Amino acid sequence: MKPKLSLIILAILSIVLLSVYFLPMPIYYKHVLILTLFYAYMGTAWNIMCGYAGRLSLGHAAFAAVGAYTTLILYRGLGLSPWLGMIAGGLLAVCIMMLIAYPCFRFGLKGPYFTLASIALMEIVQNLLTFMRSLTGGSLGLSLPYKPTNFALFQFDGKETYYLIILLFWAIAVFAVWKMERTRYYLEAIREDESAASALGISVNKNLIKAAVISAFLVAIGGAFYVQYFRYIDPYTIAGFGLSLNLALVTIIGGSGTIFGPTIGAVILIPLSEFLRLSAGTQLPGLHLFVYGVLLIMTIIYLPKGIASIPGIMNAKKIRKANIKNAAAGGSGVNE
Amino acid sequence: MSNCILQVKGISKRFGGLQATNNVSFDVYENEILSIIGPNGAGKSTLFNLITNFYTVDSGSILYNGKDIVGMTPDAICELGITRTFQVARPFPGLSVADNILVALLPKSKTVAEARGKVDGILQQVSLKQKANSMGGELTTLERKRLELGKALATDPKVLLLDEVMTGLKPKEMDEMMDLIRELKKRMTIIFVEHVMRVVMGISERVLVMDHGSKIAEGTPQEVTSNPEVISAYLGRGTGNAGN
Repeated sequence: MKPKLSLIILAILSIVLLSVYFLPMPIYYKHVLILTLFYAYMGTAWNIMCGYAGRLSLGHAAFAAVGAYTTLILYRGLGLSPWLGMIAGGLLAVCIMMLIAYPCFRFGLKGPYFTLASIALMEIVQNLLTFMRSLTGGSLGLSLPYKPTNFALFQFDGKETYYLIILLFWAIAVFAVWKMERTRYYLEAIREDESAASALGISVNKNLIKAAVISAFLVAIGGAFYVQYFRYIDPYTIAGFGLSLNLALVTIIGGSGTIFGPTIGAVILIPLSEFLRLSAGTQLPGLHLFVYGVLLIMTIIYLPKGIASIPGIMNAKKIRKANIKNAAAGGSGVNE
Repeated sequence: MSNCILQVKGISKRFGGLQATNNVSFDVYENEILSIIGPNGAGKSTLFNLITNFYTVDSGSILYNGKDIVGMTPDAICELGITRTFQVARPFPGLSVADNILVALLPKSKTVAEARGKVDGILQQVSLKQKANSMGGELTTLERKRLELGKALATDPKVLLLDEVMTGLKPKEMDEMMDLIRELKKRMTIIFVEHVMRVVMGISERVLVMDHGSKIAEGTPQEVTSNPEVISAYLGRGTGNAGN
């Protein structure tokens, strides 16, 4: 993709999404929009480490949980503004990520083994949250005490402000991914062949840790948004498989290792799952999971690089056709 | 002779019961072409892996411009100016050929745009311009070898370690590759591991012969090919004496 093209797409998308804000619509649709942007944002953060660097984590909910609980506990206990609390949560998530990422990358844990380690981390976080009852409320969860609209406390009546905030988060995350072009190339090289990358002067560990840390920080911030918006968290939803899998699914189906892949995935999957839950939720509960599965299988078979790869594939076809035409016209002209 | 750029001093490496490299020492001078030959399993590629620290030496030192580089990470060694290619070419399969080169250019470029500007030149040098948009994984063996060389060149090395770049090439392609290496010699020092004797005799200034992990001979191509030790390493011991 041409370097500036992504930025133009981001600008257009942001404007379109911003104008959606002014459209009158039922409150439920607003909720679906917020959810979609939330997953687009979280997928974008997940994608930095798991898409570009190919270190598939199915435990990223752990970082969302750290962000969410830190924000909420600091607010409930000390009255600290969630805006500051979520930075603290982000930093704590970074520390935890370092704790797992450094040994994993140092000793070359990758593929399924890294994925298992990430799941184990999530289980540990989930268990800790469940058993540290006095601090976290255990499996009953914690709720955010209601306050009327107050910017400093990150609480708003109605959904519109949350929509604007998550839109801003998403735009910042996508812009950040676009901006780190050099790191993106390094991560892709590392994903493709670690030894070959280091032979070219690319520091494997440094770049992997950088990706992991940015990814964990952004996901933790997303977790903080989650608790402010839903006003309630418990270990099983915020530090559970469901959230982790959703991040992976929107990214893989949309196109992992691409700037807009996670966004495309979220735009398709989240409204679809909400629609299915709404229309068939009582007769066929779990239908959306079935559809997820089918979509995932179809993507892996027909579009292993996700929906975002369609333009690239069309382009390659065009080039191939042109080459064949040239070869036919120019005889043996093109043999390279 | 000109400056000594790389000094290998008594390096050894053991893998379990196998002494892969046994107290090997040699000097490499600036802008020369040194080839390393020897039968299969002699420890030639291991030598490359030791110099670039893909394997860590058990003992001995490696000085680059007088500075010991033992224990530095492969990427730091590359940054210093020593780049190696792999015997089995390792393109990044999921990246386009142009991006393969771009990635190699990046560590030494200030901006991505600057690196992007140099991609075409490198592609031209290794005759891969028409393949710029193909994926690294779609290339033929020959193209992979070219890409491997292109990636190495993109890192702007002072010392280039080429591991069997000629294997599998047709005679005409070999001549092209030899011309390219001669051209590169003006800018850098080249050490290459090679089996094809025509190439070794044709372009190297000095030859180092390895057998069973040890250096058995060193000298000009003419010197080493008339060395009885070298002949026996290749053809087997006893042929020289048995007749008489």
